[in-house]
Amino acid sequence: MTIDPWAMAEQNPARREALAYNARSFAGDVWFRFSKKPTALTGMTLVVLMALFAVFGPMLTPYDYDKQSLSMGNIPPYFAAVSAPEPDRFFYVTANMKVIETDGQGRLIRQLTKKTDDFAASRVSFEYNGALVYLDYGVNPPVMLDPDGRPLTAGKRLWNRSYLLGTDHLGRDILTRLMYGTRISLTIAFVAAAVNMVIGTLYGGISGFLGGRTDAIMMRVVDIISTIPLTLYVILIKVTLSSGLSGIIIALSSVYWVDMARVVRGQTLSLREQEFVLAARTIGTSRRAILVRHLIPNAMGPILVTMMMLIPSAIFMEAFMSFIGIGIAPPMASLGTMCNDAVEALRANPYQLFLPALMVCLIMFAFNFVGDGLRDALDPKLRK
Amino acid sequence: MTKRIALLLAALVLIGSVALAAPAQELVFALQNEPDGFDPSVTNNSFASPFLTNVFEGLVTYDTTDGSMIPGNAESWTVSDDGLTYTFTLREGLKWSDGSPLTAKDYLYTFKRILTPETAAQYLNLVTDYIEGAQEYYDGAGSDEALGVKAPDDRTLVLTLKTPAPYYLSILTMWTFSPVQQATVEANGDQWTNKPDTYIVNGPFKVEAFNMGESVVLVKNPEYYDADKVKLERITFRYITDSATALMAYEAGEIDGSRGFPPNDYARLRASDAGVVMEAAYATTYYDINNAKAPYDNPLVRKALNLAVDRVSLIDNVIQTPALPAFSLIGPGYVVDGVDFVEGRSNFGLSETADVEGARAALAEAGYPNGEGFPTLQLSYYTNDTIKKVVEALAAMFTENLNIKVEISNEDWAVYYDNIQAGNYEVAAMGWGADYLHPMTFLPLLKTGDANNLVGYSNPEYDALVEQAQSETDPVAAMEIMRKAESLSAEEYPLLNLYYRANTMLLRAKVQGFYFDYSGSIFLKTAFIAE
Repeated sequence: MTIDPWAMAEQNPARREALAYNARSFAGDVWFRFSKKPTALTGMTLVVLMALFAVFGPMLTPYDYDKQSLSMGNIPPYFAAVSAPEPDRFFYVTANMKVIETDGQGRLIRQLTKKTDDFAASRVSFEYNGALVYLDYGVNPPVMLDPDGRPLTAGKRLWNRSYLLGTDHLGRDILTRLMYGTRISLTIAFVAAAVNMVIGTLYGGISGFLGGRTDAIMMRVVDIISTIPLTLYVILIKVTLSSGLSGIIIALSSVYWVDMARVVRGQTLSLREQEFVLAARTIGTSRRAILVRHLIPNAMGPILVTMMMLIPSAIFMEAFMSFIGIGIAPPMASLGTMCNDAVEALRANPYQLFLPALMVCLIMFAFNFVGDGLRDALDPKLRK
Repeated sequence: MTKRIALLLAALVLIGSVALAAPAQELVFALQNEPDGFDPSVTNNSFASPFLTNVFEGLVTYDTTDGSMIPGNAESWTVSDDGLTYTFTLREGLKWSDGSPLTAKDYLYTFKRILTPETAAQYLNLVTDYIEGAQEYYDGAGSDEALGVKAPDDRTLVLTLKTPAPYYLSILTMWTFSPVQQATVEANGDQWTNKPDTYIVNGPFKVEAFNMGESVVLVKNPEYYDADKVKLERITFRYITDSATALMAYEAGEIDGSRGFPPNDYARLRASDAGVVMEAAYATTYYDINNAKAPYDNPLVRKALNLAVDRVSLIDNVIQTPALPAFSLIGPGYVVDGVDFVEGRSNFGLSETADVEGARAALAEAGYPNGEGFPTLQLSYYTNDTIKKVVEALAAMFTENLNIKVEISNEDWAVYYDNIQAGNYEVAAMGWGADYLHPMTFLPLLKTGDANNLVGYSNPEYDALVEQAQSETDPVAAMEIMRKAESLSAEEYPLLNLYYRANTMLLRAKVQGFYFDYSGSIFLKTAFIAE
C-alpha cells in the first residue's frame, strides 16, 4: 500500500484547537518547576519546620524564655562529669568553677554550696551531704577531690537532660529561647515582608502607571532614600522609637520598600503600553481598577520574588540590631540578643553563640533557597 | 666548613646572649577605649587614668609600695591651724619634659586655666566647691587677688579653702591638679595634646608617639626629678575595645596586661594563676530609685525592692567577679585610727540573700498585698554587657519575689543620663566610684539640691549632718557625723544598693613594683620587669 503524500488530511473540527501538551494553570506550572528544584524544596521544608518549632515548640517545653535559675547558669548540652561519693551521682565542674550535682542520666540536681576558698592551697571546698568535697584548681584542668582528699577520677560524658541545649549565663533554657527567638525572626520576616509589599507595590505601581512628572518626583524620592545605606536609616529610626518588636517593624517597614517600588515601577512601565491596558481603557475602566486589577496581578511574579529576597535581609537586620543592643528589649529572646549575650563568653561557653548563630544561618538559607526557587519557577524564559 | 662552624658558633653566642641579657624593660598594656582627651585639666574620663597618672604628677601623689600619700612635686607643706590655708613648697630644680623649669607659677596658671569657662574642665567643681574665690573667678566676678591660689615665689604655692576640708589633700592627688605648661598651651591651643613634641609633661614618663585609635607609646622622661627610680624604658598603651579580644591577645603573649577581660573567664584565669590583679575599689554599684515619683516615694516600696534582691547570687552567678554585697552607699576602705568606716555598721534590715517574706510584707504594708495594684516597674539601663545581665537578673527577682510586672528599657549613655537627670525614670542602673578616698565623695549624692543627687531624695536632717561633716576638722568626729548621716538615709532606702566593686586587671607576674589604686589607676613609676 502506498501513501499519497498529497492526500487531504482527515478533518476533525473537535481536535482543531486542541493543544499538543497538557495544559497547566499558571500556579500549577510554577509549582511544577519549583518542586523540580531540590534546594527550593529543602528550603520550603525548613521554613515549615521552623514555623512549627517556633509556634508549637513553646507549648512542649517546661521552661519560659525568661525563667532563670541563676545557680544553673552556663551548663553546656554535653559535658564530662566525675562520679560523686554517692551512687549514681556525678559532679560537673563548670567553666566558672562551680560544681553541679547530676544524676546518671544527666539530670541536673543542684549547685553545691561553696564553703571556703583557700587561694594559697588552690582549693575550694563545697558542702556535700554533710561532708566536704574539694575542687583543686592548682592543676589544669581542675580536679574534684573526695572528703578524704583523694581525686575523683571515674566518670563519664553525659548529655544534659534537664536543658537539652544547655543554659545561658542566667540559667535560662537555650532551646526555649531559640524557639522564641525564631518566633520573633519569623514574625519580623512576615510582617515586614507584607508591609513592604503593600507600600512598595502601590508606590511603584502609581509611579509607573501615571508616568511623567509624578513618576519623576516619586522616583527621585526613592533615589534619595537609597543613596544612604538602609542599615543606617533603620538604626537611626530605631534609636528614636521605643524598644520592642513594633519599633523594629516600623523601622524596617519605613525604608525597606524602595527596592520593591523600583521593581514594580519597571514592570508597570512596560505593561501599561500593552494592548490589554488599551482595551481596558477603551471600555472605560477606571485608572484605579486598571492598576489594581490588571497591572499589579500581571507583575506578581517579580513582586513575589523581590519579597522573598527581602525576607532574609529583614531577618538579618533584626538580628543585627538586637546584636548591637538596639533591638528587642530584654528579657525577650531574639537570635541577635542571644548571640550578643554569648559573644563575651565565647571562650568559656562557645555553644551559647553557636546555637543561635546556626539558627540564623538556617533561616537565611531556607528563605534564600525558597526565593531562588521561586524566581526560577516564575521566569517564563526558563520554561521547558 | 670552618666558616660554617664559625657562623653557627656566632649564632649560638648571639642566641645565648639574648637569653641571658636582662629582660627588656618594656610593657604593653591594653586599655578598653581611647580616652576622650589627654588634657589633665579638662578630662574626667576614666580611660585616661592609666595614661595621665603616669605622664603627669601633682603636688601630692601615692607611694607605689603601700599607697600612702607622699610628696609629689611638693617637697613639703604646712596647713594653718584653722585648716583653711595650705602652703606647699615645691622641690628644687623641677623640670618639664622639654627641660624648662617648672615653678609655682605653672600651678597658678593651671588653676586659672581650669577656672576659665572656655577650658570646659569636667572636674571644675573640685576647684570651685573648695577654693576661696574660685566660683566668682569662674563666673567672671572674681579677681586674681580674691582667688585663693597664690604663688608668692617660684617654689611656694598657697591654697586657701572656703571651709576646712581635711580631705582636700587626697583630692589634690587627682590628675586634674597636675600642672600644664603655659608656653605650649598658649602656642598650640587645644592642639597641644595631639603631638608628642607639644605635649609637655612633668611625670615619670613622656609620650613618644600618639597613634590615633591604636595606641600611645610612653618612654622614660629623663627630666623627671626622680628619674633614677624609673625603671621601665617604654610603655605602650594599646586600645582593645573588646575584652574577649584583649584576653586572646594576652594569652597569645602580645600584651602584658589589660584593664578588661570577660568576667566569664575570671575563675579560670585566677585558677590558672594567669596574673589576675585585684584591688578593692572604693566604688558602689547601685540602682537609682526615683524617690520623687509614686509609688517609689514610699520608703516601704523602696524597702521591698531592696529586700527582694539576692545580692549573693548576683555576685556569684551574674557578675562573677569579686564584689561585696552592699546594703548602703559607702563601702569599706576609709580608715581613721585603724577603724574602718563600715565597722559595726548595721545591715539596715537587709540580708545578703533575698528575704522574700520580708519584701512581700513591706509591699503589703505599702498597700500592695501580693503585688496587686502595683504599676509595671520600669527598669532602665545604659547599653553595657555586664549591666544588661544584672538588669535581667534583677527583673526576674522582682517579678518572682514581689509578684509585680517589670519592663526593661535601655538607651545609650548620653540619652540615658539626660533622662535620669530629668527625673524621667523609675529604677535605673547607676554607680559611683570615689574621686578621692573619703566618704565625702559619696555623701553629696543624697544631699538636697546637689547636682549629683539624681534620686530626688531630700532630708533636711541629712543635709545638715553632711554640711557639719564637711567643716569638721577632727577626722574621728567627722567620721561619727558621716556615719550618722549615712545610717539616717539608709533607713529610708533612697537607693537600691547592690554591691561594692573590686577593680580587676590582668598583668603578668613578671611586672612588679606597680601600684593599683582604689579608683583603678595604675601607677607605673617604679614598676619593672623581673626575670
